[in-house]
Amino acid sequence: MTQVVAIAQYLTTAAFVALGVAIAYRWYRQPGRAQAMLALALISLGAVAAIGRFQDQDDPSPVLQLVSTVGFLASGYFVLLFRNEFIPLGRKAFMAANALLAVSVVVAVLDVFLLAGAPQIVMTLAVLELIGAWAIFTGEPIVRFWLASNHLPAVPRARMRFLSAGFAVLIVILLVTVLGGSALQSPTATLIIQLFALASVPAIYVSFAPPSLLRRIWRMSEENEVRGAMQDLLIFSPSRQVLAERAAYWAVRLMGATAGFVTDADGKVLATSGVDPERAAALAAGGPSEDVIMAPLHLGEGEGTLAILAGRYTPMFGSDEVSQMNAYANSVSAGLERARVTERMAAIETNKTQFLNLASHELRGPVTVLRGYVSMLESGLLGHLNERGRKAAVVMAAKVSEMNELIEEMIEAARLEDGALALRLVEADLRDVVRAAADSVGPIVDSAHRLDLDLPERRVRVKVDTDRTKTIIGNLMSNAIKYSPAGGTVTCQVRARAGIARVAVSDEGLGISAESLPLLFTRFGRVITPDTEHLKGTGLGLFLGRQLARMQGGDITVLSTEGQGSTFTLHLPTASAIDASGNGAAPVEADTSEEASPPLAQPSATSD
Amino acid sequence: MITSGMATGSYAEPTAVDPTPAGLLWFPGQAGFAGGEVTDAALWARHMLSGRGAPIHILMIEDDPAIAEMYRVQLEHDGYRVTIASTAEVGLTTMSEQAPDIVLLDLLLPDLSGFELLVALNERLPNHPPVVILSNYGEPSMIDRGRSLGAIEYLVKSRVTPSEISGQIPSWVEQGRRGRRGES
Repeated sequence: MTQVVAIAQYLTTAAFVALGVAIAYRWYRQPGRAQAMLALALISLGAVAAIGRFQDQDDPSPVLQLVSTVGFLASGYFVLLFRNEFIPLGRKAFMAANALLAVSVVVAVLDVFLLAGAPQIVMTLAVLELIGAWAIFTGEPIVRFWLASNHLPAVPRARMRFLSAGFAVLIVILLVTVLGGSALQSPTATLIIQLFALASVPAIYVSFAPPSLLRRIWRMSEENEVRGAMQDLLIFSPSRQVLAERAAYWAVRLMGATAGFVTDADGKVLATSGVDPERAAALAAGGPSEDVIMAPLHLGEGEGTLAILAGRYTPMFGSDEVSQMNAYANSVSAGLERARVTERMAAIETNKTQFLNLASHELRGPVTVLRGYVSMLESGLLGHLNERGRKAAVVMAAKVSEMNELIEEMIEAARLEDGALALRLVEADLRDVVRAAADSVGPIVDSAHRLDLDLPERRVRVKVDTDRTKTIIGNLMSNAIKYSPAGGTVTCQVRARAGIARVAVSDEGLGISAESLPLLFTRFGRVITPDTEHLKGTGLGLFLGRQLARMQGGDITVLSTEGQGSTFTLHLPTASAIDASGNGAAPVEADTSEEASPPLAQPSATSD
Repeated sequence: MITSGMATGSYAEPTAVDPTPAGLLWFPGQAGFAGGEVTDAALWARHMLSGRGAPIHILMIEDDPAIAEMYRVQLEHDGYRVTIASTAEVGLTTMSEQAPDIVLLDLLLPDLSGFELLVALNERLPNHPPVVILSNYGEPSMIDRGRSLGAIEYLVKSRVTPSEISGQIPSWVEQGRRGRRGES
């Protein structure tokens, strides 16, 4: 048994010496004050262990004993200095610590040289003073580190806790052995104490040099969180800026770094986490170093960087971190690219609407003047025109009206996209609205065309924005005429059935090919064929018509056969249907079986 | 040629008569004329002249000289007296010094907006002449604002012609006169 105890004791000593050597080597590799303090603390501890083991137990050399005691005190004091590097001690606390160290050294000298023959109680008190001093030097940092670790990312947190735990075990062992006295002299007790001391060595070791496997295990909880956050990060970030900020934040957390930043392809700092932008810019210019890992971001315009900074808590980055950073950076690159495209699209969309709005309002000014003077010319107010002049004035008046119409369409489209379009719903007879629409297109109905209204005997009550509905129907009629260049009859049939009123405008014109149908209702979507390329229009009419119809709870559908003609049908909920459903707009399911429209066969397109 | 399947149907109330009959204008609610007969402006003006000894005095507050000049041609031709103010400040001064019968007001002015001018006018001259807003903007919110500030009409410039405006002036003046009588 004593053999086993002896082996355990030698092992513990060897472990502490090895710990001292290991940290001395790391200190040599990565010089730094904090590293130095921890190294000195562990080296002294190793030395103390070695001296204790190799000196003669029965006839201890006083000098070695003194060296060992002072080394022991120093190891505690260096732990305090190590803590001072991270969280500076107050002036008073520092002075108190120094005073305690001085008193303890005096006690140590007295203990070795004068108190050899003193009573047991005095000896015990002296040893207790020394161990108490050591416990204060190390205990305060243990508590402090443990508390500070709560706010740290997983890796540094685990490291701080291992350091705290390791030293805590040592304090407990020392206090127990001294206070327990002879009660703990049995080999079993010694063995257990040795094993505990031995266990504290790897705990302290991993705290300053965690192997990559351990780092990966510590990171696992973070990684699970990151995975959850990744989708949010990459897909739902509202802008590149936000995405970059989140990416930097998560890189810091994931790697247990102190800070991180993201630079754009142009080298500008896009986002930072835990570091101010100026310093980030300086670091980015400096390139990667021992303290900085930089992972390239492959962006469309060039290469950016995702960088993390090592700090005092996190001096160790290994190849594991680098490869993981690169993988992470690739995801972030993809996210940033996607965000860039989305942002650009949104900007284009906004610009387009703004342009539409501005241009159309700006156009109204000149058109006002043209329209005014042309009307005066026509009326002869500006003097009498000859025959040719009068004809020209009529053409100009028509063209200015056309221009005006396009401007109004553009404004309406811009309004629609701004969400600024407000309907004024009133109850009306749909037949009246259709007649008003027919009147408005009257001037473009020439001798080649006929416009037939097929209206029911009974009134058709609807609750609509009458001006806009008149415009929708008038637009369908004018399209029907426009796209029947050879002439023919345009029929406008109104029917109401089962709560849905339908206005079907049919022509005998060019018709629309099946491939072109999806284009019809898109903004600026015009079907251009050799037959229609000379016809003018903004391509907004049907887009607006459908949007406005939908806003009123209805829709527009189309049936068309190329070469034979088209039927556009406006569906609207009847007022009674709206009353029954109890709210403003009852959605209409556009059905494909158009019982009311002429038998124009396939192809057909319905809404959506 | 328009033929109606229901020949008898003449629609009861033309709620929104489009001043531009050829157009298929996207027409937000109240930015156009309400129905009503267009008076023969010149006749009316001459009538006013004979009855009162002075033509109707129109103050046009408008910073675009092309538009102002165009309206002046039409309105003077129809027998009105026209004063043009190119800023809100000049407009306010003219109003207190010359007491016009009606004001045609643009909204985008170099110094104040037409709305601000209306607010100032309501404060300084509670009995001010009727104001008709002529604007390039026809947003419903602006129309509502103009009306709530006491404008008797809000029209979008590109949708009306000077002769239409000219024809409406006597009824607007009359409307303003009635309004003031009602107040006092």
